[in-house]
Amino acid sequence: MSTVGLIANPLAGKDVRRFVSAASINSDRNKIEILKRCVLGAVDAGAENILLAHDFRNLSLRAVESLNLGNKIIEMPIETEGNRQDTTRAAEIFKKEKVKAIISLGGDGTQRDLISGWMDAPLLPISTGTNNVFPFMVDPTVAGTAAGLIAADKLEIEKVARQAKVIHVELPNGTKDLALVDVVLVSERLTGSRAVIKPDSIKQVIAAIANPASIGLASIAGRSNPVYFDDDIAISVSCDPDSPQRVTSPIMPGSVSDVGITEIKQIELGATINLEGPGVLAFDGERDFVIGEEEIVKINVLRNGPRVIDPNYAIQTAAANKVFLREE
Amino acid sequence: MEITDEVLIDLYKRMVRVRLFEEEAGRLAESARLPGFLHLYVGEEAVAAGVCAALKNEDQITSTHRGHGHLLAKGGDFNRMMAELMGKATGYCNGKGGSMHICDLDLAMLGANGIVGAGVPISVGAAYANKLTSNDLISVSFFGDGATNIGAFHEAANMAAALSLPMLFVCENNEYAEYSPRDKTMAIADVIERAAAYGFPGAIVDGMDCVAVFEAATLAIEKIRNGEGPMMLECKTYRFYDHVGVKGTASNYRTDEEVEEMRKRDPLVIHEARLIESGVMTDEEIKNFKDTIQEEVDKSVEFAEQSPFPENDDILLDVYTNGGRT
Repeated sequence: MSTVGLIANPLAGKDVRRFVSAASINSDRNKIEILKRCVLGAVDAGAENILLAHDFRNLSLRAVESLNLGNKIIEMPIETEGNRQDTTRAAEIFKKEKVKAIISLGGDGTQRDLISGWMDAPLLPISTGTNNVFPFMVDPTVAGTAAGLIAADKLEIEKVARQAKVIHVELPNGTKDLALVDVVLVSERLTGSRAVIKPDSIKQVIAAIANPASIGLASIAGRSNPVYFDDDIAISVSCDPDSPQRVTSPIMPGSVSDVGITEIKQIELGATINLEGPGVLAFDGERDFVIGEEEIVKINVLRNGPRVIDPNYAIQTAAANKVFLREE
Repeated sequence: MEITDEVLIDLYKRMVRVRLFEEEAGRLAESARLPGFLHLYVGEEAVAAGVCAALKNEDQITSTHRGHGHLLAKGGDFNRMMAELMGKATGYCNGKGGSMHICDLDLAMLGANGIVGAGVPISVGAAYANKLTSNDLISVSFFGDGATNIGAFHEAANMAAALSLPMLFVCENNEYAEYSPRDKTMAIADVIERAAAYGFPGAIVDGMDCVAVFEAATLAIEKIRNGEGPMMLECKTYRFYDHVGVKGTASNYRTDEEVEEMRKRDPLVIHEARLIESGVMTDEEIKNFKDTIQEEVDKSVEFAEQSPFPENDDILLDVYTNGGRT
């Protein structure tokens, strides 16, 4: 079955960074319109079905209710709880149903939740979050078309997708976690409002993607020593507010900070590095785990993540293959 | 903004004051020792504690019909509150306001309000005065999700934004407007989208975590005090008891399972565990503090029950000039 999976994080783009940066509120209505355009693009490109992940705001259901797509729309049979596990559980069902492409609306954190349920998912992430290193800023119609073409076997995913790196984390209590863009140790004592606001609190940045043109904590690494999606390395940058070596980094939208750095180290894929507490570990921009004094977190970066569909490249490939041309 | 031990303890103490007072008020209402309506704030303590801990004493707040928590978190007096709930002359409004009209101008608490949404424009007025007098104060309005469907809220939001007033809108989104689920009465789920519509920033925070609320409120308040205009903090929270009283009307607008599920996120329990785990307070210190507050609450009941009712002759006092006397 040529199925496209569709999921949106209702809470993306609404956290406290709106108080201290120029980040805008990404409304539910905006997300619904994006979802609509994705669906229309995908169906037009040949997707036979759209598998909708329920979200606790029913954004996906509301997006399709006026589209009259009948039995092309399949609702995912799960109850939502209004937390990140909703995304992870939805990804597990996408995997079970063998959807050929997943369109996922959110920021970096949303994509992290998704791959927690399907590590090497065929993923087309669309930016609706605050920091968006991983997802694409792309017109949703184009994104939908790209996913639809893959679902309909008009494009081979192997030719238009690249596998992402994943930062694998083993916490002091033995549990495993992961991030797609960065894991950052900050000198806070609690997860609090979750966002990392204070540049002086940043102790160490581990980034799988460190793009100098991106927004967020990974920009500290990106502007110190860029590491791109396709580079088979990761980067570690140690920070100290008193260091004379400085790097200007937009750690939030419109909010450029002067961050003191002390050491830049490349990390080979598969190599294990340790972070030592105390502090709070932020995953893809959100404070998520408190580490006690002398507790050790083990980190290694592998290229075993989602197969990321580049919508622009996919459409260009399709056009080169004359997929859009037909004879009447 | 550093989350010191003192901050963590302060947040806890504010929440305990609200919780123990309200649980006692609930027991009194159930046993018919306390008259009138009683809208309990239990479950939502992290919001009042987190916001009030981030304010100066002189910053004004306006409250709702579920307003005990706001005044108590700002330092309200148990005796005067309990006396007011019982309609006694020693109460905050001399016994003539009751639960829904508690106010304390000395604490810059400009009043709870029996009319949904009506406190918001009052806060706008205070913020306007702050701006005109350049006194470096801000005003805070607490309101629920349901209040944002009321015209007064929209006029207030528009005016605060148009005049760039030093005001923090704090939405306590507990998902129910009295007995109506939010999704039956609103086409949006996040009230901050209404802030964006009027042209000012808003952010969502976990309203069951006092530290998250405190952090977010502190960030917003700093910006507001610096003249950046109004902001909205939406706290996702939940009331553990019914709209009115403890057992309420037993109408089936929400399930027992839902309430039980949310009780697992009790803000007091979460914060208490955090304090013990991090060694900020010991079990014994917590028990002693609770015992002390419970004693104060018990004394307030005694004080209120022994206090006189207002005199009949004073019935028009505070209503008309000179109490209606010529």
